[in-house]
Amino acid sequence: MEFIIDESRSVMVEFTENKYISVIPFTKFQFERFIWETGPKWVDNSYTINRISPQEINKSNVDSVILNNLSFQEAVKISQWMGGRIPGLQEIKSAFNILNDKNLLSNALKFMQQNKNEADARMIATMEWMVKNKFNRLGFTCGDLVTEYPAQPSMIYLQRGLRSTAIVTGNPPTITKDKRFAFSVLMERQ
Amino acid sequence: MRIHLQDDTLKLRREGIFLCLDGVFWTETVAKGERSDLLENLYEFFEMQCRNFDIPFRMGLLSYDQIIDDISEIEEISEHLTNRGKFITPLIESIFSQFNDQEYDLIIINSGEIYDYEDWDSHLNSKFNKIQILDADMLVEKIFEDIENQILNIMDFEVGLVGIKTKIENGIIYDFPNEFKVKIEEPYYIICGNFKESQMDIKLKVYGKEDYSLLEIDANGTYEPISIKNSLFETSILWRKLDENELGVFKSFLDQDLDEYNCPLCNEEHPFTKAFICERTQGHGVFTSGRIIFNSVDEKREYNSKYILFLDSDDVVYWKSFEKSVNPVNNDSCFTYDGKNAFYIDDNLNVSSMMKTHQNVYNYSNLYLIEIGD
Repeated sequence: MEFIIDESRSVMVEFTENKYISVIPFTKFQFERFIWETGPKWVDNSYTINRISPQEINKSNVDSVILNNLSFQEAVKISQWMGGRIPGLQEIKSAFNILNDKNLLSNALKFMQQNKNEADARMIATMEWMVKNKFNRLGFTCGDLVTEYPAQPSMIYLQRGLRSTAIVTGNPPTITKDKRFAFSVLMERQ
Repeated sequence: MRIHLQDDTLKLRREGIFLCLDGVFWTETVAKGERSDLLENLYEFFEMQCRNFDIPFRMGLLSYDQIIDDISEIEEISEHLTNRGKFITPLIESIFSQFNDQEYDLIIINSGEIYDYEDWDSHLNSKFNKIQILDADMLVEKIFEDIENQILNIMDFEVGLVGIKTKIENGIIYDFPNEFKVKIEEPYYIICGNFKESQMDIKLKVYGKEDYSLLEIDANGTYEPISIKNSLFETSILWRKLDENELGVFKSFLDQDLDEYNCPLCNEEHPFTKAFICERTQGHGVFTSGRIIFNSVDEKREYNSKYILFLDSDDVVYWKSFEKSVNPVNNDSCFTYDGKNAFYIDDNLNVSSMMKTHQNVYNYSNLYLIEIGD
């Protein structure tokens, strides 16, 4: 498995040649880094509701580490800050096997620990908890935000696993504040 | 506490101050309100205190990852911090990671909540000696003199309790400032004191069998092991001979029981609180306080001396006087007094208790140590 540390100081895994995807969905820790680096005007305190520190994580609240109370456009802005984009539907399907590999998290954690000066210590602590408690994936109750690339402006796809696909339409897409999707970021490297 | 050794001098310095401000609060609330001078007053106060006590002063802003060198930068930078929240992670990753542990105290003046503070709670407690968080909303309501007093109450500039110890088998500290007291808690030889200064330069000399001895320093809770080069006992104090006419008095002191003693000075029989020192009663019309009865010793002893060491060498009695509680007998042995007991330490660093024969008189072999006090 090939890993990199991304702009948000979290870890990405290569799932196909020169394409990397977030190992765990975007977290509030990364979002706070986005806030203090870019000062977005659309941020308000609702994004930090239920924010927890890594030492507070337990089995009932671990999903609150994930950022999921935002819109598609806001997720796009964040992914652009990272130098990436929201993954396409086919891309998330291609990444499915590696993202559900039982060794992914422990290998990603080792990589973060070896590069701890570049990584966010809170992300390392969160992943340590996940590995210790055998939580291979976060966001079980969330879908993964995807888009077709190039994006069709009237379509937003809400992908849950490989099987079910829901389509939410709107032209232009409205700000939904839907709490039930998380998102990962995809990066392409030459 | 910062501790390091330079030549034979142990240097202790209190921690520096890192002042972390809430930039958005200052520009939006203070600068535009009535307290536009509050930031400048705070900066000058901290800067002056740190300069007076020779401790480093650094400054930064929440959500900003660089040190602020001057308050003139704060307003401009703070304008860019709007919408960037109140986070301490940028300082931890970029600024604090460059500090040694316990090098600084951290003072944060902010309004409201620092979102990510609890993520780093234990990390900050180990990185900084002390952390104080002051409520900026309350400070703006106070007069500046009250703010100064509040800050002075929470800032601790004193070196405080210092303990320096060695394992006796490795070495003993025989030269050190008079403010330190000696303790022997085998296997350790310890000097300790409590100091109000903010910085100290402590000259030390250590005697040991090897080239270096390991000192274990505890300065107000900060621990540091330091190796120091050993030396032979050095003293400029020479042995003197007791005058011949006083030699007989000395010898009779050693033989006589305290209750039967006839004072050689006044020829009266009266109780002695200290052997070798005559305490006259008011009836004699002379001093009521103790006085050394050996005039030659009294006249020639070192100024401020607190101890007299006699060496009984058959026909000759030698003596020398000391101010310190650790003193060489010769260049590889010494005695030490810890306030209650006296010890003789030989050239192999073996410790022997000196027997208390009279009030304030201790004996080991042919050595007699008298503690004459102030």
